[in-house]
Amino acid sequence: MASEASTVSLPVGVLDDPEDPSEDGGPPPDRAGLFERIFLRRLRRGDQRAFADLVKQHQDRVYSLCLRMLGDAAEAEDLSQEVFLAVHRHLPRFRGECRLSTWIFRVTRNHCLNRIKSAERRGATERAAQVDTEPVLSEGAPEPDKALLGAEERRRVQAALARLSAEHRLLVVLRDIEGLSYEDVARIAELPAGTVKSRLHRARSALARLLAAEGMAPDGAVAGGRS
Amino acid sequence: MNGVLEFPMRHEDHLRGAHLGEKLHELLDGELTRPEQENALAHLSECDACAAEHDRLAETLTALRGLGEARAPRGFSSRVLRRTRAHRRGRLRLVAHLRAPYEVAVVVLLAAALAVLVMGQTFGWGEGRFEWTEPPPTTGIKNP
Repeated sequence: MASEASTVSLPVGVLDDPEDPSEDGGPPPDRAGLFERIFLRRLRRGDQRAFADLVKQHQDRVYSLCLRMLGDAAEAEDLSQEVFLAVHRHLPRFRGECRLSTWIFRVTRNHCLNRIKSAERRGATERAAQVDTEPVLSEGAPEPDKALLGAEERRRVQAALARLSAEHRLLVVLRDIEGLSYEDVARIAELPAGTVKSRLHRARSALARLLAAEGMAPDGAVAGGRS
Repeated sequence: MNGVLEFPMRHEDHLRGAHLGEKLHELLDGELTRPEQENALAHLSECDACAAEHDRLAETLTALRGLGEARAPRGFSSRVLRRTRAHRRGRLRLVAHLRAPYEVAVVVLLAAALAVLVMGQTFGWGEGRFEWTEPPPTTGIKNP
């Protein structure tokens, strides 16, 4: 309906509220939940404007997850497009058992893990040398200052990340780079929260050892080999 | 390492050389209660191994957060929408083909008839049952 299209928009940062009662079948859904239901109805009807809104809402997070998981900008963009095509194709089958953003992250996670597995099968496990570390500017306001580390430091961190297992990397990216809560990470990874914590702690420790071996100085700068 | 500290921490724990272990991560995540946090910090001030591990983990988290927010490249959403439109058009073309039942039925019937003919020729179905007969002679018959 045109009135819906003009008045209803998906609330920003739907992952910010982990206490979504609609997930546990508890009390009636909150306002954000209602907005999402209406938005979902538009999407299921094939409303292209709603889908365009969906892409704009989630493109940065989907792309960011793909980039951190794969370590290559071109491949990350290609995979992000695949993710949204899959979302578009499977939206009619989405029953709303979790939030839309959680579902999109799950689709992204599955695509990333599948891509990494097939790359491993092709023998292309080590991507560190090809990591595209340049800050990527958005369609909207470019914010190059957001990339806090220098190119060399970013390359080192990304290279260390690439040496973690894909499952461990996923948890580190979601929690420590994307800044999601443990509850959201658990929902996306489809793991119990306790398992997420223990695996994440192991992953962080492994990453810390890798970075220490690379020679990261306490202030985040790279020690040795750089002036 | 001689074990992991349990909270509340006792003086004997320090003496037996217990370490913070998982609590270090919880401390960095800000998930410890105030008393737990104070206990952990007190331990860190005395335990070099835990202090070194704490620093290393803190540096790692700083480095990860310093990667900065990756943003989708310019024109990303337009490219996605173009691809979904193309996908949709392709699907519609397929549906349009399926929505011509008359044409489909004619093709299927012709194929079935051809198949029956070929099978009949191959296996000799109907041989001996139907015979072409000569037309009856027309001569010598009187018209009424």
